[in-house]
Amino acid sequence: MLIVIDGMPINNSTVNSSTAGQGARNTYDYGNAAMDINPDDIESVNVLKGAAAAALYGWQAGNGVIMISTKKGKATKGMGVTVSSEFSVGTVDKNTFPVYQNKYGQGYGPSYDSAGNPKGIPVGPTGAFFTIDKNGNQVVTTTDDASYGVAFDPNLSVYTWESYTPYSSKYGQKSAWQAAGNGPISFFQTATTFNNSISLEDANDKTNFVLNYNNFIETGTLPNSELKKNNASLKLNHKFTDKLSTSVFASYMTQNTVGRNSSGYTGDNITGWFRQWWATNADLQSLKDVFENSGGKNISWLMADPANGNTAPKTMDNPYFTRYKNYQSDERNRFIGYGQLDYKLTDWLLASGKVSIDSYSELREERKATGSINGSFGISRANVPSGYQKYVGMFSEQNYQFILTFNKKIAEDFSVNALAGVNALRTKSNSTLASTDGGLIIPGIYALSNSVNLSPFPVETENNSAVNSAYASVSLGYKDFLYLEGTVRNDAFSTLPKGNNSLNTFSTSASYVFTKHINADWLSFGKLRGSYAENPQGNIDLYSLTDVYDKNNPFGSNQIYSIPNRSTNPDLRPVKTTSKEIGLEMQFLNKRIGFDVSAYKSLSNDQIFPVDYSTATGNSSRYVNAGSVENKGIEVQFNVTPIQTKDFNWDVFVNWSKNENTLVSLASGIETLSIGGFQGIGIVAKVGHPYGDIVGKDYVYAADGQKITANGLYVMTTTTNNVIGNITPDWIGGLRNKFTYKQLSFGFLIDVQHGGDLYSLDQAYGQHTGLYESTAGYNELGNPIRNTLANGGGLILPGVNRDGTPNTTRTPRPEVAGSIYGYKANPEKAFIYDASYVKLREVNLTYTFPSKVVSKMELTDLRVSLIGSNLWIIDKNLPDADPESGVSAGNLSSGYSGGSLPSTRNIGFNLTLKF
Amino acid sequence: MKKILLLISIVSIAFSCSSDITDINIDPKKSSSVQPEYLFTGAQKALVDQVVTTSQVFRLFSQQWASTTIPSSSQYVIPDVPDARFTVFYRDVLKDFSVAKTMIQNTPTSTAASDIAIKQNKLALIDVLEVYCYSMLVDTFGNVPYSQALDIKNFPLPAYDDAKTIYLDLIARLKEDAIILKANSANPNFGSADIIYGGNAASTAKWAKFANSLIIKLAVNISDVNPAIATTSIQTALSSGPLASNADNTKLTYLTTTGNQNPLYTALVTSNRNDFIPAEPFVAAMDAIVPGGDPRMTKYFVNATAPAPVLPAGRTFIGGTYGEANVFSTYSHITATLNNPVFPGTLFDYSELQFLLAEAAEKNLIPGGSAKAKTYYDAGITASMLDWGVDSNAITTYLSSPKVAYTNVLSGATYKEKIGNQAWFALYNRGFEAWTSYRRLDFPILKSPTAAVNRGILTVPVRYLYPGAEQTKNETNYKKASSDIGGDLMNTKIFWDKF
Repeated sequence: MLIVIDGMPINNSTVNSSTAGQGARNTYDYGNAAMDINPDDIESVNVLKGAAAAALYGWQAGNGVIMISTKKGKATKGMGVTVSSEFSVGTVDKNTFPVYQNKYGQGYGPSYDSAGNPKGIPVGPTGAFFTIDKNGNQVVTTTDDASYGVAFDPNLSVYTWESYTPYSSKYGQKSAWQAAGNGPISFFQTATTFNNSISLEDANDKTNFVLNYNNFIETGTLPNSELKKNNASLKLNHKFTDKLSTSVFASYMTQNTVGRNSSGYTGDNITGWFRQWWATNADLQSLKDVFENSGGKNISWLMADPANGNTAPKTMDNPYFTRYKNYQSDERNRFIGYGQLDYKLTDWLLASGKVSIDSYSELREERKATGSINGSFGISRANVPSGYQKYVGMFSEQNYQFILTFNKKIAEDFSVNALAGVNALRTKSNSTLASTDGGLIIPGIYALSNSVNLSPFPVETENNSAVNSAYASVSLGYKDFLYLEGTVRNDAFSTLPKGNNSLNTFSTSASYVFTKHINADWLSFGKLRGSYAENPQGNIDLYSLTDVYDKNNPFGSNQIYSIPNRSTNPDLRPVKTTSKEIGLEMQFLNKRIGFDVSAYKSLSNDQIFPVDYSTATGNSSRYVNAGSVENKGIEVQFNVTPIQTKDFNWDVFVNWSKNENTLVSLASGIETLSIGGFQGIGIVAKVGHPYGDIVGKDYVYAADGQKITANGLYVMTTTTNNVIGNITPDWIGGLRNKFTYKQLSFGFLIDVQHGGDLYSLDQAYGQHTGLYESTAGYNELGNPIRNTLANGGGLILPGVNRDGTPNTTRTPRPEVAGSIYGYKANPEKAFIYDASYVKLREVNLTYTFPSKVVSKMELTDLRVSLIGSNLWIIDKNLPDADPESGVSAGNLSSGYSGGSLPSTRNIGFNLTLKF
Repeated sequence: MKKILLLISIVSIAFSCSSDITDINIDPKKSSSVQPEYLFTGAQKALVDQVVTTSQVFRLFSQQWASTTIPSSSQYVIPDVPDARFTVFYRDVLKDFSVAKTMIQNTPTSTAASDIAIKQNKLALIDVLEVYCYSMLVDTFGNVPYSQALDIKNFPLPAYDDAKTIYLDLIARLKEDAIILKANSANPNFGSADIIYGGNAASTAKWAKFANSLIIKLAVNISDVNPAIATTSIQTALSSGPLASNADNTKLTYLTTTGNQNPLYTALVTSNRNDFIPAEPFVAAMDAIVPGGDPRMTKYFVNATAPAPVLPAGRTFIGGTYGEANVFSTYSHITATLNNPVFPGTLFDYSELQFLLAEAAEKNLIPGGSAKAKTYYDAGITASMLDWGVDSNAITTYLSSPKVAYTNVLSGATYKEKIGNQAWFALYNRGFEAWTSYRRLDFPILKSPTAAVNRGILTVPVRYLYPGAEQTKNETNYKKASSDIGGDLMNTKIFWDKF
């Protein structure tokens, strides 16, 4: 998706590492650089699809273009000042966070010796046990990151982790054995946002300008998280003469962030622990208290061996320690601007030249404080006790454009617009990543020199790319109702092989406003349109043509280099996507009711992917012209205004779309295209199948569809390439209602996704460790399932044995973690959920003060509004999480859910005034 | 009009001078050429790392170690482990060896005899290590890609070759390599880039011994299905000369710097996790072999002092229940010797060779029968004890004690039991070799743990499943290989595992 501001494409890449996209430990989500745009600069947003996009933006526009136009200064009554102030609060939506069982506490359950006798002294009907210290006291098994331990019983008093730290009020004392009063949901705080802007504009017949300043401060739901942004911009249009005019836009933004969320698997991702590996008796308030009372020490609920004097944290830090001490911070300064000169050569010929620049510099710092448990950190990703990592990056993109525009009415009824242009895009970036190694020498000093070992070699990148384009476009209009347009382009890419790096593409579209010829009062507008467009595939990775070697750390004085995992390909061919679209737009009864329907089909031919191969080839992947993908679908928009009176208006908008994405062919040498892989599952595409199948282990089924059991447990396939779901939704849609009564307007937006599957790593691990209510139920005898078989526990799973007899065997060892629920006893299929949802996305209520009141206050406009967003998930299937929360952005953002933050409900208040 | 033409010509000139923008598509931070030595060292290190790492679960399969909090691996739930082994061998080791080999072959050399000899040594040495990798792959999985491997351009979907055919080709390659290395043993090979033997002239002789030792190992492996080839191969190797003493052991001594430490150090120390303890089947067997326990026990295990594990009567150490969760502090622990970042990683040692030769003697692949087997058996135990630092007087006593003495029926009813049990003790911390010895000799007697039996795994696995990724990325060949070996299951025997 390309974002364009006033015709200038801006960089909106996702700047996370590829391992962050697939959930590696201790990586951060740095988001998408397009978020730097100041919404106050925006006059209008337009979405271009198909041929229209192809004309001007060609190779970058394959997925559509979001066109942003900045404001033009207007001469207004008054000074031309707009002030806007907004305050909002956000709280986590409990519906997107686990509901923990409150029956069993910390432990993995009993364990047995080789004769089958339980070890330890069982407590209760599950046989789980406490550790017994040298004085015979019961101590919680604090080294277990699971909740399959002894059943809660407030009459039992045991020593917990709190008993062993002097910073807890429970030091030396026993506690009642019960679920925590402050569970993990209390870790999240209320988020606040302050957003203030001031804008000045003015115009006269020669000049207009808009000057904007915005200040944005946000604290998040995680402790110690804050984002501060300042954005100043100036837009200036000036007519020197009747022929020569100029347009200048300059915007500068600085952003400082502290405490982004660590995404990926466990490590510093606290929510991952909460969802997957947690003890239900661990109290967050106690964790906070010991952190504060000790002046910031790392005292954790997961303690190594407190009964024998070892109170060091085991594999998870105190979450407050992680947030306040092991936080990351980053800074970005960005300049976006352009200068444009237009010269009217004649009445009908305009020459226009434009230079635009998008450049930013970035600093990102990550810290691991002394006192942390050993964890993967730094360039080497080795387990270290502390450390510091620093990333500096610089990015700059310049676009040089020259266009000649031709505009003439040829004859009475014909108008012709034509343009011819050339464009040169130059992109450069470089970065340096450096870290300490082996830990920090002096705690608290985050400097590369403060490294126990000689710092590993910094990792540098330098990226240079260029695209040269030339294009011409002609648009004919007949009597304002018939239009025909055609565009030709040539784009040359630096990322393709010499001599075969350019591509010609052609697009055309036609539209017919047929209501000109139909005279019917009830038919206000009707337009039929069709288009055919070709787009080159432009997003080809740099450096995919020539083999190079990776440098590794030397072994002593011996240098080590290695063959990179990804193999290059000097024979890549430029390729394109062709799309066809047909659409019909009709409005009736003075636009009281109408619709816009379009159907499209596009074929992305022979696209270049880094395809995954068997590692027996000596590489993990290779760039090839891999395969062709077809997209076809329908989009419908429907509008109706059921009520329209002088004072009251009710507008309804509905949109609905369905897209079918199929892999139609694969190059030889590839049987299945691997799109992504995560812990446990893969996301693939096979020829003739819908794109985005999820593959993993499945149950084994009998002929009648029942699951096969053996020894009371489900049998799983040994193969891991069974299709167990698909990430593509059946359709998505939205409903927007707007009510206006005099000065008051009220609207709400509902978003719907129907279909699409995802795999929940949270359920796979969290059920294994017994966190969720689904793991602590009762069986058909009325006994707790977790009781040992001898105590009437266990479950008879519905299924048949291989010989056809129904399963009557109770699950063996139901008291041990992972014996019935979770990833060990169940295939990945068990954790595939329908990702459908219906969400109340936004509600807003605005009151515009009437002009009489406003002018008495010496203002020109005054309005207040109340906005709520993500207030209510009306329906979803994924338990304990938000089906929209992915692991990263971009292509891998759906199909997988693991360790993500709970969603936030926001309510905000906005005041805007103009004078 | 003139102005328009001027404008257009200026602009088009500007664009025709854009020259070739593809020239900037070269990464200025990386090199497209490198010395083969750099690839060789990297591949050697990756190979030893893979043999030593605890991410490969062979110390659990051979029940020398047990798990603590998370027993999944010891219950044979090892989802990504076969993928890691497959990938490291093919992508990180074999590919780099292969490219280094091609570079060396294409490097012009002088006509000086010494230069030619060094080049031959380098190529032979790489070949030996490649053979070692493929032997590990076959011994782990069965049929594997071989003739079509490592060539993504021509064979993006490599076929799986028949394991026995591969094995015979490996033995043939080793024979030729041993001849070359032995003939050129006055010349060095890779110099300091050989981080195992040092790359000098003395090392060339050692690599020849390693090649011969590897022939013996492969020959003993196939001896039950092809005794004729086994016999001729062992005799060729013996006359050429395998490892002669502990001084010839093929070991990589690690370094203290990050990334160059023994992977055990990362697993046992820096991870801070305490995932492993000695396993009771192994510990109990060692405690029972002689009164007071096998002298190597104090080298293999250690008892903590606070808290100290509670030892049953007559026991010096206590191991954790294999296949179950165990509380770390309740049991004996793994010796702190393995915590040393520079503890060497071993590819082959003299003790291992002696046990293989003992077996060969019993199978009449070499002359001498049981009497000869006894000398090898005793030599194997002795070498193992000396390597671990046991006093030589204790060794003599040990060798004559009733449950150890080769001629005494108490040491085992069959030669397989005698050799199997003692090899198991000697191969401590060499999980893959211990597991392979177990598969071939069927001793010691190991049982699948209850939790695995409940899930249908009734016996100790005798192979890894093929990597899950192969099912997607190489589906047709995977299916064929799977059916050719008799099913992609953990209890499908490797072709040489007849009994």
